Amino acid sequence: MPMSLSTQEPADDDQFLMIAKIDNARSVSNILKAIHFKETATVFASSMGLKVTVEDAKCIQANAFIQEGIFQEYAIKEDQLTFKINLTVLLECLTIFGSGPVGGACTSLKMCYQGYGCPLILILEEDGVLTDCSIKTLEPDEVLDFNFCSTNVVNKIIMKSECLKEAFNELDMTSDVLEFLMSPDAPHLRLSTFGNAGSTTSDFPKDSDMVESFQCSQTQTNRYKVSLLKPSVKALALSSRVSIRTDNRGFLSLQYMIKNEDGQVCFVEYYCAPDEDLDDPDH
Amino acid sequence: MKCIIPGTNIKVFGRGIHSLSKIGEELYLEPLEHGLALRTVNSSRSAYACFLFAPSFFIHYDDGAGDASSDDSEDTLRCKIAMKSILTVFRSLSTMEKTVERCKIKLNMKESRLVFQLYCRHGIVKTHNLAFIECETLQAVFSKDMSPNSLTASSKLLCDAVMNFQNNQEEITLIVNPEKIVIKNYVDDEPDPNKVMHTNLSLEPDEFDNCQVGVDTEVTFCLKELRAILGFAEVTTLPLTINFETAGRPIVFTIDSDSTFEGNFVLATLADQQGQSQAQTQPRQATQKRPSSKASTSRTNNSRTNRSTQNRSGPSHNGNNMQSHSRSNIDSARSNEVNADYTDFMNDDTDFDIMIQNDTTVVYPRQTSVDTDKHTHTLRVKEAGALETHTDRSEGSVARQTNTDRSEGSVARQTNTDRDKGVVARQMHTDRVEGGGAISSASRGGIRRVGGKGDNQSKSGRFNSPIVNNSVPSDDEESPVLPMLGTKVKIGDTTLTEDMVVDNADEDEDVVPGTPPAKRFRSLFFGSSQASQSQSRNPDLCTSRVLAPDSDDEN
Repeated sequence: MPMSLSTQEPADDDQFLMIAKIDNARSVSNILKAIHFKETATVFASSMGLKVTVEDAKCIQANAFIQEGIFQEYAIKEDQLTFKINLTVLLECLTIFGSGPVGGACTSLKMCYQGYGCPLILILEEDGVLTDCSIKTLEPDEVLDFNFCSTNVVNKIIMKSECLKEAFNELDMTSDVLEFLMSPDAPHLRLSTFGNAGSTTSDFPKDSDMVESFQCSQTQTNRYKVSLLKPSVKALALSSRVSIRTDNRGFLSLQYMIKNEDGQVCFVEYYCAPDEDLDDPDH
Repeated sequence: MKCIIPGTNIKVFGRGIHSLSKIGEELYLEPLEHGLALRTVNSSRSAYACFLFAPSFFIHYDDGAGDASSDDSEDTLRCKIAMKSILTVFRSLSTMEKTVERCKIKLNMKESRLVFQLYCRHGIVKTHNLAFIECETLQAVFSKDMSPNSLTASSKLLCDAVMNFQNNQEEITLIVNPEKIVIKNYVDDEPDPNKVMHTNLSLEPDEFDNCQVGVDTEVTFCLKELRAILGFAEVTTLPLTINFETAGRPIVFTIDSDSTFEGNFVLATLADQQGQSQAQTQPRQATQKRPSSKASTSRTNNSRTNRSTQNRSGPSHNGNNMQSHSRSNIDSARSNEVNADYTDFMNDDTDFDIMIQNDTTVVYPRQTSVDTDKHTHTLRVKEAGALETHTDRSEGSVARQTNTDRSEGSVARQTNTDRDKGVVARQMHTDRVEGGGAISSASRGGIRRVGGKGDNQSKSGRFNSPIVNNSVPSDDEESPVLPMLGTKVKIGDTTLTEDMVVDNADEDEDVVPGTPPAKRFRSLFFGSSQASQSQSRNPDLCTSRVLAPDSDDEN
């Protein structure tokens, strides 16, 4: 039901189970772009905020967290609301006034959700121009639980994103896998690709000023499909810091700290399953 | 082999590799005592580039020659790497400039990998292990010192000049005379020259740091390759020196940074069908190939004339050729290409009448004096420049003879004229030219053909491809090649004729009716000689100068 923000009666909001208002829609759209590598996403709304999840091949999962503190107004009547939505369409609506940071003009956003089966309502306003969007929601599928808990983390490195950006941008796409070597001994962090031209490795010493925290207990070498990790480059590009963790199974967790235009911090994380050798006796 | 490049020089090194990548598909690496040589050649062997980085360019340079542990076979590493591979190392030059502190190149014999280690800021080390293939040295034979024409210009001047040409422009023609230097686009055989845009840019000699014009000439070469060269020159802000002789002979671009590094780019030029440049010309096999659109194509009116002249008259060209021939002597290969081109050129419809007229004109490549104005095109004058090429191309042929050939394919020997027949040229060209555009073809044709006589052509491919490695297919066809090969410039060279005949056989039809080829040729020959003598600046042109004994089997 289209209604302008200005004319919207506060009482009308009662029908919605979830309402979220933010002055700058880009805070939401930029984060969502970082995980936009598939058409559909699952949205989890809770009192803590929004979590949007995108998965692929049952091997990789990306989560974008937009805490309730980011919003100017955030109200939810249930413990958890879940729905699946077309992320491409959602992003197109959020950026309907243009995606670049326009000097001065800011698009405000109000998101409303009435409940299971109801569409997600977006009301965007910029300079007095109002846009109403109503996007159908879909039945939420089960999302993978990578069961990645901190207790199982074997190696953890927190570093500035800058240097990893170059490494990932120049990833040899002719290589099938990206190998992560993390070790308490030198080379402490090594990314390797094996492509048509030959092999390429990037070594990051633990005493580099790019590395903020280095906690590695054992030497681990894991390979991950380049095609699965490539989408994470978008999140890496937006981020200022990244945390790389591997657990005892070799699963990789990449967590990106992204600062939005207003200086607030959001997180995006990627989980990736390792590429196993079929004849590996351990697996 | 082990060497370390300091961060400040990485940009130059990377740019050098980028410019080489625009020319060839494989990079030949060879550490020599006096520096690291990076070379490449394009698929049609019409362009060769070589960078030599002296030991002073590196922080540390060890060519591995003194490596006691390596056995003979590994004493010197001579390898080639796919351009794509090495471009992955030097992909983003702007980032590299900012982050890489030094680059170490070493050979890992154990795993047969060439290792590039980039030591970047913040302690990050990037290592690239590239697979290489061992190969023979890629060498080009060319001479800069002996070239009569030499221009030195800042890269900015040339960049600005080149910017005026369309991006899809394949070849351009450089016309020099002591008064001015003209650069114009080369128009191939277009259906309608009037519908094609012609761009003509004139420069004063004093805009160049050094301008030395010994032989007025027009040379046509590939613009794409020149852009690759300028891409490198821009970065170094060093002046670019251009050494060339006449059409059909290679043109050499050099960037020299005192003793730190030196870059040489050798491009084939379209052989002048007119043979002027080709003097040595080789009968351009071009006819066949003509892929190079260059020379032959210029259909401009002028060109037509020229062409016809060339084709038909051969004589006119010949005249030129001859003259040039004497000059060029050397390039049999060239001539071959030229011939080839010429032949190709000749294949086009020509105005016999014009040709006949042109016959008498002995065109000295540079001289505009060419009797026939039309023909003259061989000389720079050639009109559209394209024409010029024609001459070259087609006939590069036998400088002297070619002219005659052209017209009718006359003169058997004129075979060069073959151009039309292209036969000869073709053969020659095929080798090389295939790939190249006009220039290549031209050159190729020329060069090869020259051979006809032998494998002169083979050597360099069209424009004398200095590239030794080239496996120049010896002309299977007689290269109309002009005397260069040693056939001697003399016009009446029978040997030439023989070659030409072979190829020209088919083209004889084109011969101007009424004038038996032989006769034409002779008249051309003698006529031209007389004419040429009068006009030729080079008196020796008229004289048949045997540049090199004809080694052609045919002869």
